[in-house]
Amino acid sequence: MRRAALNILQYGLLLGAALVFLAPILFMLVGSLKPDALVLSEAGSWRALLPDSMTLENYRAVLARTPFWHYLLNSLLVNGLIVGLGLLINSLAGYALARLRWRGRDAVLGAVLAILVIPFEAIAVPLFYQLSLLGWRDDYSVQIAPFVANPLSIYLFYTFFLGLPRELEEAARIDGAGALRTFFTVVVPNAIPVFASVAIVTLLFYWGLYLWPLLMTTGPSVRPLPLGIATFFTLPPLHWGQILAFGVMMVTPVLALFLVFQRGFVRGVASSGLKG
Amino acid sequence: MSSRVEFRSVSKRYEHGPEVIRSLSLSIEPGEFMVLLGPSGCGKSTLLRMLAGLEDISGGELLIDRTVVNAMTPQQRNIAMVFQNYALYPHMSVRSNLAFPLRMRGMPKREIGARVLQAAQTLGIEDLLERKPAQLSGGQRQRVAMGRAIVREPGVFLMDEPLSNLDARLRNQIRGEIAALQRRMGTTTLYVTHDQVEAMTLGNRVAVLHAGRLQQVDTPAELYARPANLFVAGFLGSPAMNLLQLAPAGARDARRLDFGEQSVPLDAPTPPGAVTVGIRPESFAPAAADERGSPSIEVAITEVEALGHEQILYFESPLPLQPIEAGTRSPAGLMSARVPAAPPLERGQRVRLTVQKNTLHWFDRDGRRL
Repeated sequence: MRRAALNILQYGLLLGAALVFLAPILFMLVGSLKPDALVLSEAGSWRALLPDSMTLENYRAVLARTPFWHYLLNSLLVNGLIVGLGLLINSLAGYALARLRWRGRDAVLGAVLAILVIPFEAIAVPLFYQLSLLGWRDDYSVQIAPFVANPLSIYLFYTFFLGLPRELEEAARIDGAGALRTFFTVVVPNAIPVFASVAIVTLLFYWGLYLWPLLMTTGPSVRPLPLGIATFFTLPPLHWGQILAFGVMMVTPVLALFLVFQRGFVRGVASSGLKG
Repeated sequence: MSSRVEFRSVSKRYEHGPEVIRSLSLSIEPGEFMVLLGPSGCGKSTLLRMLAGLEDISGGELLIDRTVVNAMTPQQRNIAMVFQNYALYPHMSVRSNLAFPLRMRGMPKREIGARVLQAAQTLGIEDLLERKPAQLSGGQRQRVAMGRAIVREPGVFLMDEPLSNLDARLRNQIRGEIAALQRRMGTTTLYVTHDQVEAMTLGNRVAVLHAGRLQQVDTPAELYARPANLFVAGFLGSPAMNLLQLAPAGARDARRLDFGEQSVPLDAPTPPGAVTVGIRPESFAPAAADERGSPSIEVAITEVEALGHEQILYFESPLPLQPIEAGTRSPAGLMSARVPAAPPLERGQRVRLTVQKNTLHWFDRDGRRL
């Protein structure tokens, strides 16, 4: 009996916490479906989360007033390359640090850990200066190249590979696979969980990146979604319903990808080929 | 084709670490089943890994078929290895696991299929080919690991304690299968274990290692009957050989073996220089009732282990026991005797034991056999 009461209390608390985190998303979704005029006027009441009428007008307006699909394509391209190239390069770096023996390895690992604590904002200006000297302005590469190598990703891969049973790689070497082949045919398939985690963490961070593209790009041709949403603030009058609709359209692809990648966490437990 | 393996004064030292293999020389003939036996940390697995190419060689030469392979990669050495934890690729089916070493060699698909099937039939795992390692029992995983080794028909099999994760019954069964498979295939095999039963039953010859040094290489029977030194004498056999320190040469009669206040006459005098005598537990036998007058010693039983077909008696040693560094030991300070199950004996009982004097082992000050 007491156990049941405890369970109810626990679930109640969890549900409450979940609602606190879900409320802004729900507000955004509901607000995007309401006539523009009602979004702010109903913001303080239950109507903010439980509307009595719904419309897709805001979505139509977003598509009409902004080159949304172009922004989305830019975001997909930039983030896809940051994530894809990042997985390749950072996993190889993490593997080299975890498994290969080479002079200076400990120093490089120390440097990676040190860079981990430097916030991007601190290096944004020197990086801006450096890339400007190279003539990298107003294109995709300037939005991608600085973010491919990522110390957090390297560190996540490094710690995961340290825990992977070394015998798997040794067996592959004895079976005749070279270092890269061992990595791609034996290590990577058994590291799906860390690849999924790194992909999600990277995507969540860079999908909303605002400062850097603002610094480095000028026109909408190469700008990503976060700068697209900003255009609403420069086009009076302010339509909150449209801003919320743009927000929904902006987070939907990330949410969808998150759900796809999340399955990776459950799959591929690396130790299942070993004893026990 | 079966290869010949030769270690020539091979040594291994880790950076800033101790020397774990010290100038070790050992030849393994084509087709031979050689067991590397020793306690944990003796360097046996390191030696195997050096042969596999997974560890660098710090000094000396390692030859396979008269070719120095020190600098060769694992894949160039034509060896296959079974790991202690099997190291099956978790994401691949059994079929893909078996095919992997063949694919890495660029073998045509049709031939890979045939070889995989043949290996699976040899080991009785045809029904498991589509399963993933996680769906297999310990014994089945062990067989798949063996299959991955034999499918390539390598020159040398390396096995690193392949049975240590199995329960006792399965271990006995698979031990027999490994022995039969090796005889049938005739592939040179190097097998690492700390289990003396495995060593004695599997090996054509057994190499005993201790602290990175080779102690003795011989057939199992010869190792047991004529251990080269105190370490081998104390390590092989369960319970371990009773190793007793003799009184100084001047203070004893060379024609008698003293047990404190009792003694038994010897057929031949104690060899000069002997400081330790070794007596296997089975060299004791209960004195028959009518043997009262024959040479025997009387002991008080401290502990009895009834094993069904025999019993192990433990009794206080009248002489100081020789300390040995590793291996199975009787309970502290006790000697042991292996006697028939009947008549059953009890703790506290006094019995007379005769000593088979032709099975005594003598060792000098440095622990070497005399």
